[in-house]
Amino acid sequence: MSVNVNPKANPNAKANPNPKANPKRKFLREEKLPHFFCSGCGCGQVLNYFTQALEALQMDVEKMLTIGGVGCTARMPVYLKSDTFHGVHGRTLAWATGVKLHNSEIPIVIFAGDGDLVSIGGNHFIHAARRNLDVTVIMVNNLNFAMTGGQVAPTTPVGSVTMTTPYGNDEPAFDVAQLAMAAGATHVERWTTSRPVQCEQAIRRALQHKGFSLIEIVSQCPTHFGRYALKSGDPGKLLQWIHQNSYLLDQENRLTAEEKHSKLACGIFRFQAGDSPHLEKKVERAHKQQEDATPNTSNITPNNTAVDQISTLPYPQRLTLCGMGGQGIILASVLLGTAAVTLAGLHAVQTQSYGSEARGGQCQAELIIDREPILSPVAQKKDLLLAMFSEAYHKYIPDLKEDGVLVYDTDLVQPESRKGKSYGVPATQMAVGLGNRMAANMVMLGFLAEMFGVISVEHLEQVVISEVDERFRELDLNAVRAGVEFAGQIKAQERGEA
Amino acid sequence: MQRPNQQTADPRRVMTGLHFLLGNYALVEGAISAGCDFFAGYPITPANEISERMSQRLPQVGGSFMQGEDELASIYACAGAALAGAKAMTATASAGFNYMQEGLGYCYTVEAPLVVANVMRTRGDNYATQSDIMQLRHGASGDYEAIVVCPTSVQDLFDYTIWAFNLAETYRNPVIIASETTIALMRERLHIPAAEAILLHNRRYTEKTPAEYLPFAAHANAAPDMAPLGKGYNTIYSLNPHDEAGRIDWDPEGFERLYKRITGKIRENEPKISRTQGFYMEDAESVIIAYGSEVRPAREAAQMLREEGKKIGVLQLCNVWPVPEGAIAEVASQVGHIFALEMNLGKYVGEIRRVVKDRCPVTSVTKNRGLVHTPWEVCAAVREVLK
Repeated sequence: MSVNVNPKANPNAKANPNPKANPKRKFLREEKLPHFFCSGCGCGQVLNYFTQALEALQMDVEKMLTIGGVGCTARMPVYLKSDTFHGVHGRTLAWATGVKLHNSEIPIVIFAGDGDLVSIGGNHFIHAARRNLDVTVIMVNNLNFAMTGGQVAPTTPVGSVTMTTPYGNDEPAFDVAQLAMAAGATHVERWTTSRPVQCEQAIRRALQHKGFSLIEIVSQCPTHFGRYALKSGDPGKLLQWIHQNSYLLDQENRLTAEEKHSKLACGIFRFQAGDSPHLEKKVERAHKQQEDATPNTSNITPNNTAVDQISTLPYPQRLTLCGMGGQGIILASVLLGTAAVTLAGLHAVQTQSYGSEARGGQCQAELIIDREPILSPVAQKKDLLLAMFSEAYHKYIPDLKEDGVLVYDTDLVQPESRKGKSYGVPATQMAVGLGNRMAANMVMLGFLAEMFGVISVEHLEQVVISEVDERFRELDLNAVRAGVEFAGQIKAQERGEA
Repeated sequence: MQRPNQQTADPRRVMTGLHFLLGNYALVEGAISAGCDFFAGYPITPANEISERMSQRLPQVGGSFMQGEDELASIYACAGAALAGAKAMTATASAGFNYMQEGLGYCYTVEAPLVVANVMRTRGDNYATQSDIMQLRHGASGDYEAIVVCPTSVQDLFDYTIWAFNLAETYRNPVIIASETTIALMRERLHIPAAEAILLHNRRYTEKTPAEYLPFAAHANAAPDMAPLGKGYNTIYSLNPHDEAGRIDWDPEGFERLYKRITGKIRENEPKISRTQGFYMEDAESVIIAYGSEVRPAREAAQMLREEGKKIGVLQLCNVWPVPEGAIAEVASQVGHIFALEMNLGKYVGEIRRVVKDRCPVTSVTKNRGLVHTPWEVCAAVREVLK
C-alpha cells in the first residue's frame, strides 16, 4: 500500500479556481489530494456519491463533523473539508455518541469499512442503533480487511479465499443491514457501487433523516478481495460480480430461493420516523430539572461550630457496629457520623464491609470519632462494639479492647463473660413493640446517645429528621426515644448500685 | 459554550457546607463544582457510586450522563464530548481502566482535556491497593506524558478533582485521579467552600479566523488554542501523526516535533504542576515519602516515632506524574534516609531512587494485602533500619 503525502503542501490552499473544475471539489481539502485509494477502489465512487448528495441538498460540509476510524473507508473524512475525528479502530460511534449528547446540533457522518464497523466496532454499532443515535453511517463493505492486506472479515462470503483463509472461509457472514434493523436503526438501506444513482439517493435520504441511518454500499476491492477471492484484479469484472451477486428487494418474491442463495438483497430495508430517546428526552429532562433545582446548600460553616464535649468515652472513639444485612447497621453508622461532623463539629471516619451476600449475611461498619482530623483509618482495638447478630459478634469481639464496652441485642446475641462492661438491649423486641422490627437500629442509636453521649440525643433526633426517609421518620424517632428511655433506666440502676 | 479562561465556580453547582460524605460522592461534588458537564461510565465496583451520583446530579445542572456499553464507549464518548466543548469525565476501577488505555492514548495525541478517575482495587475483588501506579502513567502506547493526582482523604477527593479539571483544561491533557478503595468507600468530614472561593481554569479558544487557524500550533511548552466544533474550523483530530495544521503527516521530522511538544508541555511545566506537602520536615533526619491513602499511616507513624526520639518527616506527593523531582531531590540532599511507602510490592520506589541517585539510601516499604498500612507497621519498618 502506498501512502501519498506531500509534506510541503500549503495547508491554506484555496479551492481550485478553474471554473471547469468539478464543482464538488469545493467539499474537499485540496491540499490532501491526490487521495490514497488504489485505482479501481470503490471508496472514490462513494466519496463522489456523498459530495453529489451534499451538492443536491446544498449542505455545508464545513459545519459538519465527519468521522473515520481505521481502514481504507475510514480515510474518506480526511479528504472532506469538515471537522474530523480519525485514526482509532472501531470507535467512530462511541465518539459520535459523546458529541451528540453534548451538542445535538452538529451533523455527524461516519465513514466506516465493514471491519471497522461490525468487527472491532460491533458492540458500539448495535448500541448506537439501539439508541437510534442521530447520525449517518456510510459503510463501504468491501468484504474483507483491505488496508492490512486482505484478511477475512465478518462480512466475507463463505468459501472465499483470503490471506487468513487460504483453504476458504468457513464462517457465515453478517448481514449488516439485518443486524442494524434488529438492533433498532430507523433507516437502513443496502446498495452496490454498480448502482450509483440509488447510492446517491440513499445518502440524501440519510442526511435528511433524524435518527440512525445505515447506508451499506457493497464495493469492489481489486487489490485484495478481487485478487484472492475472485482471482481478478480487474475493477470492471469485480463490479459485474457484485452486481450479479445481488438482487433488488422488490424482486424478492419473484426469485426462487436458489436464485437468492448467498446473494445480497439491495434496497430500502427500513425508513421510518423515530425518536432518539437517549438524546432528546434526556436533554429535555435535564433542562426541566435545571429549572426546578434549588442549590443544595447546608448552612453550617465549619470554623465557628463549637465542638461538643458530651461523651463519657475518651476521644478518639473507635466503634464497630455489626449485625446482618438489612438491619440498618450501615445507616446507623452514617447517622452517627453525620451528627458528629455536621452538628457537633467533630471529625469522623466511617468504613464498612459486607459479607458475600449483602442481605442476610454479616455486615459491619467501623466509625472513628475524634476532636482532631483522623489519620489512619485502621484502628487496632475498638472502644465499643455494637453487636446485633450472633455470627458477627463472634467475628468482631476479638477486636474489642479488654475494657471496651459491648452493647448487644439480648435476643440475638449471647455474649460470653468478659472483663469490660456489657449492656444487653432488647432492641429488636422493643422495635417490634413499636410496630416494625427494622427500627431496632434506631433503638440502639438512642441507647448509645443517652448512655455514652457518642452524640447528643438532640443531634441524633435532628439527624434522623434530616436524613431518614419521611415514611419511617415517626417510627424511627419513637424508636430513638425508646432507646433513650431504656438507657435512662440502666443509668438509674447503675447510680442505685453505686 | 465557550467559558472564560478563568472564572469562579457556579453557585448553583456547589453544595457549600459541612458534610459527612462517601469518598466517591465527594469526587462527584468536586467535578460538578469544577463545571463538569459530561460523564460516561460503565458499571464497576468500587466506582459505581460515582456513576450513580453523576446520573442524579448532572441533569440538575444541565449536564449529560450516559452509561456506555463498555469502557471503550465511555472513554471515547468523553473524548468526543470534550472535543465538542464539554468538561468531560469518566470513572472506572483497575480492571476497567485496562480497557480505557486505547482511548487515553487518543486523548493524549489529539490533546483532548479529560479527567479519568481510577479507583484502584485488587484484581477480582475490591481490596485496597496502589498496584496501578505505573500503569496510570504508562498504560497507553505512544509518546506522551500523564498527569496523575493522588488524593489521601474524602476532602482531597473533592479538592483534587477540581485541581484535576483545572490541569486538564490548562494543558489540554488527560488527568487521572488515582483514587483507591480505601478513600473511595470511606465516609469522612468534607467541607465544601463557597463557590466564589473555587477558582476554575478553562481551555483557551482561538481568536483567529478559520483561514488563519492552525489547530496544533502552540507556543513552546503550552497547549494550543482550541477551535469550536462544527463552526467551520475544519480541524482533523487524528491519532495518526499530524502537523501543526492537523494534516496526517508521516514525515519523521513532523511527528517527532509533535511528540516533543505534547511531552514537553508537561515535562517543562513539572515544577508548575507538581504539589507536595511536608510534615514535621524542619528537623527531620529521615523521611517517609508516600502518596494517596498511605500518607495517613505515614503521618501517624511519624508522630509515634517522634515520641521515641526518632526525627522522622513525611513528604506527601500530591501528584505522582509528572514526578515531583525538585521536591524529592531537595529532601534527598537534606536527610540521611528515605523510606518509600506504598500499597503494592514496590513500584514507585524506582522513580524515587532515580531522582535520589546516591544522595541517600532508599528503603522500599511495601504491602499488598488489601488494607492500607497501619501506623505500627510503618513504625516497625522504620525501626528495622534506624535501630
